[in-house]
This record gives sequence, C-alpha cells and structure tokens, in this order.
Amino acid sequence: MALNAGLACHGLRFGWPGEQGDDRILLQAVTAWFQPGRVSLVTGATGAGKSTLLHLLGGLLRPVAGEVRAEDQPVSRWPARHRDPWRRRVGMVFQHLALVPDLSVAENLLLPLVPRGMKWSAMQAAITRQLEAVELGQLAAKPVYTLSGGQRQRLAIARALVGAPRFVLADEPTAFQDDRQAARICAQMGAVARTGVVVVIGSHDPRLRNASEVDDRWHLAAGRLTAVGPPQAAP
Amino acid sequence: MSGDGGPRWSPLAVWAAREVQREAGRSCLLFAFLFLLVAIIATPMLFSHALAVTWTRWMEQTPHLVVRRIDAGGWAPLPAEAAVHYARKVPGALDPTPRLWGVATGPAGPVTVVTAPADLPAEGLPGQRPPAPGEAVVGRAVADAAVDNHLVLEQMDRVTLAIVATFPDNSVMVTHDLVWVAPPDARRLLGMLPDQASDLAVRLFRSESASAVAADLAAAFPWPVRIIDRDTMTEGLRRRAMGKGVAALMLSLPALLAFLWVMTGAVTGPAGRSAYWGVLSAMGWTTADLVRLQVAKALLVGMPALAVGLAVACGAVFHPMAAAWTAFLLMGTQQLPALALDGSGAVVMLLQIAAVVGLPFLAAVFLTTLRGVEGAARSTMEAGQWH
Amino acid sequence: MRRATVVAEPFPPAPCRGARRLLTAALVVVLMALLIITGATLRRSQQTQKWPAAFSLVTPALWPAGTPRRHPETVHPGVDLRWCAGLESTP
Ligand SMILES: Nc1ncnc2c1ncn2[C@@H]1O[C@H](COP(=O)(O)OP(=O)(O)O)[C@@H](O)[C@H]1O
Ligand SMILES: [Mg+2]
Repeated sequence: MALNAGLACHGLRFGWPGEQGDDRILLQAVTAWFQPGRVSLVTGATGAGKSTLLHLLGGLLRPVAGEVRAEDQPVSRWPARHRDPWRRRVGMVFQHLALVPDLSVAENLLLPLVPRGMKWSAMQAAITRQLEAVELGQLAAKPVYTLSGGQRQRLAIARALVGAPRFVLADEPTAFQDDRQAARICAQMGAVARTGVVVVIGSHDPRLRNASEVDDRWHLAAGRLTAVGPPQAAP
Repeated sequence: MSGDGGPRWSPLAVWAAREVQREAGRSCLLFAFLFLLVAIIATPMLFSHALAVTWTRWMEQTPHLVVRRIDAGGWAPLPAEAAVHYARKVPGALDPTPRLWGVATGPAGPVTVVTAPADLPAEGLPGQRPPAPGEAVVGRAVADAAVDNHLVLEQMDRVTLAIVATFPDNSVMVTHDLVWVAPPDARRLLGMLPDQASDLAVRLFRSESASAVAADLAAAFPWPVRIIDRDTMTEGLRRRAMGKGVAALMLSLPALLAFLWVMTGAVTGPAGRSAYWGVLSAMGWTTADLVRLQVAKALLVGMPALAVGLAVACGAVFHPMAAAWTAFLLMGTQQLPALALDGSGAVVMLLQIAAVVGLPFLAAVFLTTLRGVEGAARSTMEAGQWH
Repeated sequence: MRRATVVAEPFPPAPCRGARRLLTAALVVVLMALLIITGATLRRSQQTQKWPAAFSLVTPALWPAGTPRRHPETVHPGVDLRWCAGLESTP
C-alpha cells in the first residue's frame, strides 16, 4: 500500500482558546497514520481529547501547529472554500449526534446528499440501503425526536456513511448501544473499512477495545498519541 | 424520477421547499409582508400610470382650444355663426365647432348636458342614432338615478326626457354624468337662442402653436374671450393622476425599502440557524451551497408573493369595478361604478416594481446568509450547541 | 434483520411530498398571477374609442358635474382659485 494513502497527522498541536499554556495544551504533538482498509481505534480517558482529535482530522477545527494530510493533501492548510467541499468525503459521527430533531429519519440522511448533484432516485436508494444497514428501515418516516438514544446514534452512523465517504470518523459510536448492536456496529465498521475506507473510531468503550474487527489501536493520553500493540497480536 | 410523479425538481429546490415548510410561520410572515408591500406600492403607481395613459389617449381626441365669451357676470353665449366666421380668419385654427352644452340639475345632482353636431362623424357611437327631441342618451350614473326611464332636468327651464339608451359601460370615465339630448332640448334647458352656442372648440394643425393661435384668436373676436388649451389641461390632469396617494408613496418608498431590508434580515437571517448551518457545513455544504439554498427559499416565498401582489394590484386597477373603488380611495374623486383603464406600458412598470422590491429582498437574503454562514462549522463545534 | 425482510420498506424513504407539493403550488400561483397580469395589461390596450370626440369634451367625468375640475372652461378668469390650492378635496 502506498505510504501516502489514508489519513495522516504530523505534529498536530491544538489547545482550546484560553488553554494555550504549554502544560494545559490538549494535543501536544500528535503524529499518526490511519491506513485505508483498516479500522483504527483511538482510546483515552474522557477529556483526553479524542473528540477534539476527530474534529481536527475531519477538518472542523484547525490545528495550531502541524498538519493533517488526506491522501497526501494538506487539507488542514486549505482555505475554507476548498476544505468545505472536501468534507463531502468525510463521514462524521458526532459524539453529540447533531441530528435535526424535527426532520424525519430519512430526511436526516438526505441532508449530506442534497448538495452533491446526485439524482433523486440514487439518493433514495442510498438512504434505503443505509437505513437497512443500521436496522432503522421501519422508522424512515418517523421524526427523529421520537427515537430512542440508541436508535438516534445508529441514525448518526447511517448519516455518516450515506454519502459513501473515503474517511469515516466515529466518535463514541457505541455509547448508547446494547451488546448486540455494539457488535453489529463493529462488524459494520469492519465491512466499511474492507472497501478501502479509512475508519477512525474514538471511544473508551471496552467492547470496542476487544473487538476483533479493530486493526490498529492508539491511545491518547497527556496530549500524545501512542500506538498500542493489539492484544491478540502474538502469533 | 422522483418516485412519485410530478415535475422533476432539483434536490436543492426540494430541500428549499422542505425548509420553507419547516419554517412555516416565518415563511407565511415573509409572504404576507412581501405581498402587502408589493400591493401597496404597485396599486397607486399602476393606477396613476394607467390613468395618465388613458387620459393622454383620450385627450388626443379633445379640441386643442376652447374659446368662451366672457362678460362681467361670468360667461355669455356666443353667436355661433359669427364666432365661426371670426375664428376662420385666424391662420392655424382648424374647423372651429360651436359647442352647445351646459350643466343642469338632474334628479340626483348636477349633470352635464351635451349635444352633438348634426353631422355626427361616421365612426360615431356604434349602433346609436342621435336622440330626437324629448329623448336622451345618458351615462351610467344618470341612468341609475332616473325613475321609470324618465329624466327631469332643470336649469333655465324644466325639461322631461325619455331615456332611449345608455352609453357603453367601458366609456364611463367620459360619460358617467353625460346627458346627450337633441339641440332644441338643450337650448330650452340652458336658455339659449337658436343661433347661440356655449363656446367654440378649435383644432390646431400643430399643438405647439397653441399659445400663438390663442393670442390671435383672442384678438380676432370683438368681445372678451377666455381660451383654455389642451396641453395645459393635460398637464393638470397628469398631475392629478398622481394623486396624493402616489406622492405619499414616493416619499415613503425609501422607508418601506429600509423596512424590507430589516424585515428580510430578521426573518431569513441566521438567528437560531447557526447550529443547523454548522451541521450542514460539517457534512460538506459549502458557503455557496448554503447561499443557494437560502436564495432558493427566498425565491420560493418571494416570487409567488411578488406575483400575487402585482396581480392584485392589476385587478384593483384594471378590473373596472375595482378600479372605480381604487380611484375613490386614492384620489377622493366621485365614486364611479366602473373605470376602464388602458394597460399599455403597465408591464414595464410592473417589472420596475418587481425589481424595486425583489432586488433589495434578494440582496438582503444573500448578505444575511453570507454573514451567518461565515464560520458556521467552527461556531457549532466550538460554541457547543450540541453539548 | 429478519423483520426487515418481512415488512415492505416504504420507498422512497424521504419522499418530501409536502415540499414537492409546495413547489408545484408556488409554480401554479406564479403562473396564474402572470396570466392575470398579462390578461389585464394586454386586453385593455386594444380599446380606443373614437366616438366621444363627437362631443368635443374637454375633461373626463371623474369629478362632479358643475365643479371647476369637471368643467374648467367655465371658470371665469376673474375668479381667483388660489385659496383652494392643495385643499381641493376638503369641504
Ligand atoms: N468547545 C470547547 N471549548 C472549550 N473547551 C473544550 C471544548 N470542547 C472540549 N473542550 C475541552 O477539551 C478537552 C477534551 O475534550 P474532548 O475532546 O471532548 O475529550 P474526549 O472526547 O476525549 O472525552 C476537555 O477538557 C474539554 O474541557
Ligand atoms: Mg468525546
């Protein structure tokens, strides 16, 4: 595999406003390479900065120093008018879901597709496929505010995947799920990765840490990201 | 295909409609506001324009000059033949025609009594012969006030006439209060001798020569006369066509447009939407996409509002019955039963009004969106709308 | 997964029917308004009536008969009308 494929970050440094002091900076010098075709898991204590890292990778935040490269393009340095359309290639599952509650389940999936110049029928087919994948097909017409927490989270996953992204950044995708659904989500992420997609999951969920679908493990602590050997790595 | 028939709308248009639907209250408010604004601006402007056009058209048929003999007590009848003889001597004054007309008191107030020359032009009132003595052809208002098709007029004498016909309704602007009688009846009513006329209508070869010919005419008659000319009158009518409503409108137009700007900004602006726009931009909507969406929404609400506002203004001006009411409200003139106005040139005016309202509206939508979108993605993630 | 295969999925899942109806309604309203506008502005421009010329009238009948506005030719030059400038419609 080409070394420049996938999503990479070099010397990424980030601090929220008002926390610029060296000791309080959230991400010190994060360097990592998330390969296409593999599921990468970023673990870390709550408040370690997993969500912040995913937002940086997805181009929603700008690093103070260092850069994010996607398929060897320095996307974190791009001006907004280039970076906004690039985000169509990113599927983001927000920790706080960010669904539009008064729209129906299917209409939430329509949101990322509208500006892409797709045919209406192609959009509807993609929506149907994703809803079935997350077992929400029967709820397509229901408004989102009538859904349970777990159903909403699965909807957020479907929305991240509906646009066939090259990069999937999932923040705590199993937080509200039962064991069966958590396992199914792991399998789904694995299946997505097998199609050559970069999948990065930020989570402290132990069910994910032990999942067999996870290929690479990273641990975020004290502003640094370190690779962790897989538990079953020993041959 | 869309899956459920109907026209093939672009997804952005469908989504714009979906958002208009989501924001039904705001959208209705905006629609009502734009509709009222356009109707309020367009009705008086269109009315005065149409009235001016109709008047100008009509004034082209009126005599260029009217010569009236005056004395210390007011006016005096002209000796018809002598007046024509004197007027013929003035170069440039064409076919001097003695007019026999006056004001008489009818059952419901003063009416205008007119006669036509014996040789009524060939293209006269279609299918209408001149009234014989004892008969009258009347305007709509006179017909409505008459009892039993009989009309009693009083001035110097009292005359009873049988109404044989009514002027066509589409001529009401000219014929509203007319009573067309035979010359003998008019003379009896107005107390004039057989040889006398009320005044003398004169046509000119060129209307620019009006003041020169008027001076010559005044000198040609052996008695003092007063001459009124058409251009002065047209100008006066044109000024009246503007009316007080239009003048007030012109003064308040900048305020209305400023209000439009503020209102549009408030209704379509980013208030309460920045989190939503942040989500959209996190999903790959560019600033251009968001602006397109907002403009599509604005068009979806604004175009029907503008079109309906203009259509209502057209109805109020060009529907004869509504136009009579509009005239009454805008100009405070006597209330007519119907008013048929000329629509030529109105399309240009309508386009102008649509531009005067539509362009600031679109500009306001465009700018408020740009301002709201700026950094929407960052503000969402950083301000923690979803936390 | 089994349940999903038994019950037919609604398709299309996001039809946005109301929105489509709204678009169609807006189009219909605009077209009808344009029809009214063109009808009103075109129909009237045809009419030109020649016959009132026979009466050699000077002003339209918009004001009550007998008033100076209706019959300006009857105004005597000795009557000074300045007093009513701008107040014509007040009693
Ligand atoms: N919008 C924000 N503004 C300021 N500080 C923030 C914001 N979001 C997160 N933080 C801070 O960044 C740190 C890391 O947060 P986060 O990335 O959400 O951690 P994690 O996802 O690992 O639990 C926290 O200490 C939090 O206080
Ligand atoms: Mg987090």
